[in-house]
Order: sequence, then C-alpha cells, then structure tokens
Amino acid sequence: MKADIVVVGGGVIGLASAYYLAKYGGENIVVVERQYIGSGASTRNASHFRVHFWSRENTIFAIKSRKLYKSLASESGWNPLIEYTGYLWLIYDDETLKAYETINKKLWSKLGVSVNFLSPKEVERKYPYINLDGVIAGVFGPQDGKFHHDFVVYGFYSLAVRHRVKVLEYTEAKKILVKNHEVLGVETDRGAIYARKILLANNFWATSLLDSIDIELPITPERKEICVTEPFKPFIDPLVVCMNPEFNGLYIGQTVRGEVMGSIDYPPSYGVSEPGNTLKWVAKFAKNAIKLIPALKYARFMRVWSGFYDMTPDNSHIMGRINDWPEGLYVAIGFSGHGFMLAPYIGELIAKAMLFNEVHSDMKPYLPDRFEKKKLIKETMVIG
Amino acid sequence: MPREKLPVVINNLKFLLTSDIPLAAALYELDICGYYKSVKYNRLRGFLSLDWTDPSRLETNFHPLTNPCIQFVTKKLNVRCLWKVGLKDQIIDKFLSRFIKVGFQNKFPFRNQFIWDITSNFIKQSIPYPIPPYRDKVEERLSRVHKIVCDVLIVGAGISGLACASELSKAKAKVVVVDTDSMVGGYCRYYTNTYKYVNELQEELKNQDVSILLNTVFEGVLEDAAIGYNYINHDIYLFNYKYLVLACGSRFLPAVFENNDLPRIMLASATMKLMNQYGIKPGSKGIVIGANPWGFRVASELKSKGIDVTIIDKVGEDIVKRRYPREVVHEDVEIIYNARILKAIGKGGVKEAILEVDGDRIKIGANFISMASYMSPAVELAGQLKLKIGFHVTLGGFIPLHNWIGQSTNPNVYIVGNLGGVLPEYVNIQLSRAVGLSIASNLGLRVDEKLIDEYIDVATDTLRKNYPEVYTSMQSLVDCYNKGVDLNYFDESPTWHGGSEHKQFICYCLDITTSDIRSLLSTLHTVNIELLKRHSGLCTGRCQGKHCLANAVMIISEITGKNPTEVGVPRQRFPILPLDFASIGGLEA
Repeated sequence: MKADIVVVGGGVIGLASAYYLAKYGGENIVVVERQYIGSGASTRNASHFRVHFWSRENTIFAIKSRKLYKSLASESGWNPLIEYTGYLWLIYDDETLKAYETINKKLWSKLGVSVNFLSPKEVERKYPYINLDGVIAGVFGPQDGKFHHDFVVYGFYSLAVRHRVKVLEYTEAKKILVKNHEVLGVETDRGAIYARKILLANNFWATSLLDSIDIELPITPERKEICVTEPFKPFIDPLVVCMNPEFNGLYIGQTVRGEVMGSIDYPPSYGVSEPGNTLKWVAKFAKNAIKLIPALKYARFMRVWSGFYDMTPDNSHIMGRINDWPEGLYVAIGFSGHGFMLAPYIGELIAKAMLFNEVHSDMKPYLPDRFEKKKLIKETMVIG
Repeated sequence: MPREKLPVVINNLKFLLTSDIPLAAALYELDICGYYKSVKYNRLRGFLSLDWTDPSRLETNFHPLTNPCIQFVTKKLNVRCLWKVGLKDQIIDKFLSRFIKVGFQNKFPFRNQFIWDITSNFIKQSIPYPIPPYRDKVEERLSRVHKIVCDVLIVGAGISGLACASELSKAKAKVVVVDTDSMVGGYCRYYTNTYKYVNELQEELKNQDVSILLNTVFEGVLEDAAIGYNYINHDIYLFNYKYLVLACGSRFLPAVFENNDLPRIMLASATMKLMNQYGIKPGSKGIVIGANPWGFRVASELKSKGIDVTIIDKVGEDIVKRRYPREVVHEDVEIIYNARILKAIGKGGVKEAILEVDGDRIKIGANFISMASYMSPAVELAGQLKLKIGFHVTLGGFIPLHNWIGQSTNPNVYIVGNLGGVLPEYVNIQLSRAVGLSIASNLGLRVDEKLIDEYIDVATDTLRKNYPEVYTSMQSLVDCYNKGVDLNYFDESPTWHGGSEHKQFICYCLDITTSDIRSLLSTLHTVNIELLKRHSGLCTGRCQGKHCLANAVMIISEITGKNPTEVGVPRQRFPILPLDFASIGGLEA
C-alpha cells in the first residue's frame, strides 16, 4: 500500500493531526491504529482541560488549544459538550498559596488567564459540599473546563474521514522502514505501507518503534487509576484539586452524565502490559474522597480502570523532528497527562511542520533535542 | 418449597429496604406495579427480574437518600394513580429527546454553540438521581473485612455450584461458595420439579464442611485482591483461592417489542420468584413468551395456581417439537406458534398485547407478560478475567469457551453449569460433579479418576439421546476450545419480535431503543461494541450490560449481517455490582 503520509496512532493526537494535515492540503493520508480509534489514553482520561500550567510555554500552548476546541463543534458537527466549569485548587499551606500568587502575577494574568483567589468562606458559599478542614484558600481558574472525550475523538475522526483520510483500525505498526537516512514507510501486521512522511502519535508505544532505528527518547509510562460512580444530578461543578500533601493529589469532578469521577496519586507502577486496578488504590481513593466531599459516602463505584501518563523528564510533550533523524520522521508523544487538552493545537502545528517545513515559535521549545541540549521546560504541574 | 407470606408495612419503607424482600415485590402486592421513572423518556417502570441485577432493584435497594424512586413512591403513595405525564415532559419527550437520543451527535440540525449548550444543559438536568446531601456528618462505617483462604472459590450456589462444591468437599478440599441471592438453589428453587435437586444437594451438603456466603456478590479480581461484597450488611471479603469456579448460570433476556418496558412485563424468573418465594400472584391472565422448557414450566406453574395463561413463540410447532421432544406443558395451556408480539398496550401496566400470527393481527388481553424466550450466560466475570468468549445462539449467546471438565482458557478458572438454560438439570449436576472431581485431582487430593469419566459419559449419553441439538452445540463448543479457534454461530435473534422501534427498549438503565441502535449503526459505520458503547451508553448503565448486552449484540448482528463475535463483548470492569465508598473506604483504616 502506498500513501503520502502515515500517522501511527488513532487517538486524539493522531486524528487531530491527520485532520489538520488534510485541511492544509496534504493528500493520501493513512492513519493506522492498533485497536479501535481512541482505544488508548484517549478513552481512559479524566476529560477535563485547563490553561493553567506552571511554565510559560505550556500555558500559551493550552490557551491556543482551548480556542481551537471552541470551534470544533461547528466544524465537525459533533457536540464535544464543552463547558467552562473551571478548576478549583484547594490550598492548605502558605507556601503553596504564595507560589500560586506569584505565578498568577508573573504569568497567568499577563497572558489573560488570571485566576480568582477565594477565601475559605467564599469557597464554602460557592461550593458547600466541600469539607474545608485545613483549607486556607481556594484558587479558581474560570477558563478551565471539561468536555466529553468520546465526542471529541469522534469529532476529529469524522472530520478526518470527511477530508478523505483513511483510518485503518486493528492495524499495528511493527517497524519503521528506513533507507539512506530517509523513511520509506511503516511495516504493519497487515502489510507494509510506504510513505515518505511518518508521524508517530502513538504515545509510549512509539519508543519501541524508535528503538529499532536507534533513536532514544526519555519517555516512561506511568499507570494512573481512575473511577466513576453512579450518576447524580450535577453538583460538583469544577474539577476540585486537593493540594494537601496528605491527600496525595486527589482530584474529583463530575462528568456531563452525572457520574462523579476522580483519582488519587498512588506510588506509580511502570510498564505497558494491559493495566489493571489495585484494591489499595480503590480503598485509598474512597476514603479520601469521602473526607474531601462527605456527600460521597452515598456514592458507589460503578467502574474502575487505569491508563497511562507518558511522562517525560520535564512533564511536557515532545513534538516535531531533528535533523539527525531519518528524513520524514516526526513525533508527537510524551504528553505527561496533557495530551487531550493540547490536541488541536498540536495537530495544527505538526501539520504545518510536516507540510511546509514551518517550525512555529510555539513549537520550538518542544523539539526532541531539548533533552540533549539541557533546555528543559520548567513544568511541575501534573494533576493526578 | 420455601414460601413466605409477605409482611407489608408500607409506611415503614426502611424496613422494606433493609430486609431481603425487594420493594418491588411489596409494592406489586399492593397493586402498585410501576414506581420509578425511566431516565430519558420519563416512562413509568416497574421491576424486570427481581434479581440483584434488576434496574429497579439497583434503584430501590440501596441508600434511601440518593434513591429517586423511594421519594417518588412516598410522595405518590396516597394517591393511587401514580404518575401522569406533565405537559413539560411531553414537550421534552416529543421534541428535544429526538435529537439527543444517540450520543447527542450530529443528527442535531443546528450548529450554533448556543444550541449545543442547551443540549448539554438538557442532558445534565435530565439526570434523575438526586444530589446526595451535603455536609452531613460522616458516619464512621468501617466495614468488617474478612480474609478468606480456601482451595476453591465457587461463584454461584445454584445446583451446579452446589454439586461441584459437594464433590470437592468430599475430597477434603476447602471450598467456599458465594451467591448473590438470599437462598441457595438459583433458578431451580423456583420450580416444583427442579426444587427436588436443590433439596437433594442441600441434604448432601449438610454434613460437609462447605461455607456458603449468601447475599454476597463476587465483585471481581483486582491486581492485589479478589473481592466479595455483602450488599445487605456491607461486609467485605478478601478471597485467596487456588482455583476459581464460575457457576453463575444464565439470565433470562427481555423480549424486544414495542412497549416492552411497561410495568407488569417481567422476566420469567421474576414471575417464578413472585409466586414461589414471596407468595404473590403475578396477575389473573397472562402471556408467556417462549415455547421452551422454562416457558412450559412457568406456564404450568401459573396454570396450576388458577391463572389463565397463553404461551406464544416466534417459531413453528415442528421446530419446538424437534428441539424439546420430551418437554410437556400443562394440558390446559394454549400455545400459539408462529406468533410475534408486536406491541403491549396499557397505562401504568400492561392490559393488552397485539400479536401477529401468520400475517394476521390479533389482540389478546393480559395483565402481565412473562418473558422466557431466551436465556443468556452471565459472562461479566468471564469477561473481567479475560477468558476467551465465543458465540453460539443455541447455547445462549456469548459463552466462555470450555471443555466437558470445565477447563477454560485460564488454567485457574473453571466453568460449570447451565449455559443458556439448555442443559437439563440432571446432566448439569453430573457434569458439575466431574468438574469438582477434576479440580480435586489437580489439587493433589485423592479422588477416583474413573468417576470423572463416568459422570461425563452419563451426561453426554443423556444429552446425545434426548437432546441431540444441545449435544451437537456443546460438542462444537468443546471442539473450538480444544482447537483454540473462534466459536461463532448465529442465525436469528430469538428475542427480537417487532413493533415500533422507537419504543423497543434494549437497555432499561439508560433507555436505549432499537431505533437508537439502528441510527447509531448508520452514523458510525462500525459494529465495534466499544465504539457503540461509548456513543450510545450501552452497557454503561447501573447494571453494566447484564440485561442489554446479549440482546443488543444479536440485534446489531441481525441488522448488519455481521457475526456477533465481530461485534464482541465490551471490556468488563471491576466491580460487578456498584460498590459503595463508605464500605471500601473503611479498608484503608
């Protein structure tokens, strides 16, 4: 099979990239997906997005991505059910509060996404369901929100298909074919697909493909467990993120279908075998969730599952290519848990880079050689 | 026969909630048969199966504070008429719900963000479950945790589970049996002729050391624990076993026709449970759907209690005679062959049914309908354990592949029991004994190996002689297991009847109809159940697909002509029954 461009990975990143590639004039594009579309992290996430990051680069990236999401519904005809319900960080100590105040002053307000600082009384008035023991302040980011991840994925899928992108499900890329420092295509379990340009958008699985052509990228998969409860009428509006070190990164939100969803940090396990869940996590989450929101003692687990964060050393993604690599090879991986919120802008930038060789200034900090050059992005805010 | 006269104390709802008798049955005797509103269309619903998987029981049997129908019942109980369709609801029903039916996707005619927002809002506001009370003092409910170490854990205390347990315990293995019901025996204890098997096995087990945990759901397997949950007193069990035996049997599937969710339309198991466990008559004149052994049993039981009953079935007399040559029904029961049920009519409960018989439409009066057309194995645990699952329509749809001695694709998991309601009880017990013995010999205990072959020979001989069709189906299942190939046989959905597809309910938890499925198939151009699930909500309701999965898959196959295994079983997740935070949170402490 011959194509102009092969996108490996049919998750939200792969599909968004394929759509933008087609939109900007790319032709004969093929997406190969190991299972069904969105079967990896794209269907296992918490379906929330935020623009508040600890680093300038990521914040700018997220703001632009959020803008693109706004237009997705009218473009694709699929309602992503976007709501700007915000993130609420509960602060328990002065040091953290000070850090938030500084970053708000120095970065967020300058970029037009300043947060509101709430006193415990205001938090209580607005969010009466939260147990405020020990809370000294709340930080509310009104620009953040949630969407329905399945409809976002399917929105991009239907857009891509409408732009004549071929999506091959149940086709696993096994190897990248390289000759004379140029990519020739990918070998899949259903035959080779020849193409001059390849985008790897398959999360952690890209590293094993890259290994075979002696490229190493520092990505470690970290298992994250997550659950939903039975539905309630909507009452938890924002995504409540607990900054108490005792709660270990507890976050709780409510989906559009009324299910309360959340997770808590647990000593991570690494590896990519089909991930399961642990009783230790389930018990810990239940206990701490009730502590934070007492009403949840009436809640019942309906489903638990787990997925991966593909972590990089600086908690930010890797996109684009460097000249040492075989000609025509691009990546968009290592999202460290932020892939879904950044997907449309990543798709747009990577499409421009692949088609017109244009490296946008927003994309420059994320190039794969930053680890060798020691120019890391200072990102520390990873939730969950 | 276990019979309890029902003590009904309607003012004291708490009593009903905490006792074993479901609210549904109690209300039924008071002639209140519809008592909760469905999620999307605000339809009045009653119970379906009266089991722990029943959507109505999932609604009623837990905490009263977060329980919509308790409030509904207490409000409306004084006025006998239960619920009238308000004007607002009618408007919503007619207009908005049409657009947001299937995954709220691009059928919506407008692309204005404002309209999208209204849709999202509508979806949110139409969630019927109330907000849990805020800022309540947290009651410290530390659940009791029992750590249980055993050789073999058997899930299901039906006749096959008990027979298997008996053989294992005779061989001095340490056996624990869990069952979700409040008594042992499964479906067999509901019927006079099959109750004798339960009785015999109970006698046999009397002097043996087998612990049976009732009212306990085996929630499934996590990486570091296998968990049981007693949903009456909230005890948690952590199991440590060498072998797991799945004897979870099968469930009746709802027949799919127009208005198949009206109150007083129930599964056959619910009819039997009503009569033989709670002592309540389901009605005075009824229809039993399905001319098969269970249909005949239900009809005979109803007739012997003086209830007028008619059996109907889609297939012809010749096929029924060929499949079940030895089954007999009470002589006064009328059987209508080649009859499809098109529609049930009635307000607040079924009153009439419209049938299509050989092209003619006839109307018959009935104040209840009992659905026995098909039984499908409970595959959720097999799915969670990632056993290989095949499809065979004669054996009840999705079945984990296994051989005659119960070995599945996981060496530590065995499968026994009735798949699809097709194995006669006697055969079932023989096979289960063989499985028990073979596990005992795997455990290194002293057993008579000859006995295993003997039991299997008796079972297979009986099957071959008396039930040839079942025998060939079972043999093909075993062959597929031995060769490691896919099992896939489907001709026509035995549950799908007819009528307007907008009101043929497949999923009772989230109100998904056949027309939803059809329009979804035409939008998504895929039959992959994972995608269908994400866009329609199939299998994501409170019962997690226990009542809808097999039906949905058969209907999808019939519409698209694709194989059921191509559609597949969605990934099954922990827990099997919703597990409450307060109980499991106690474990941490």
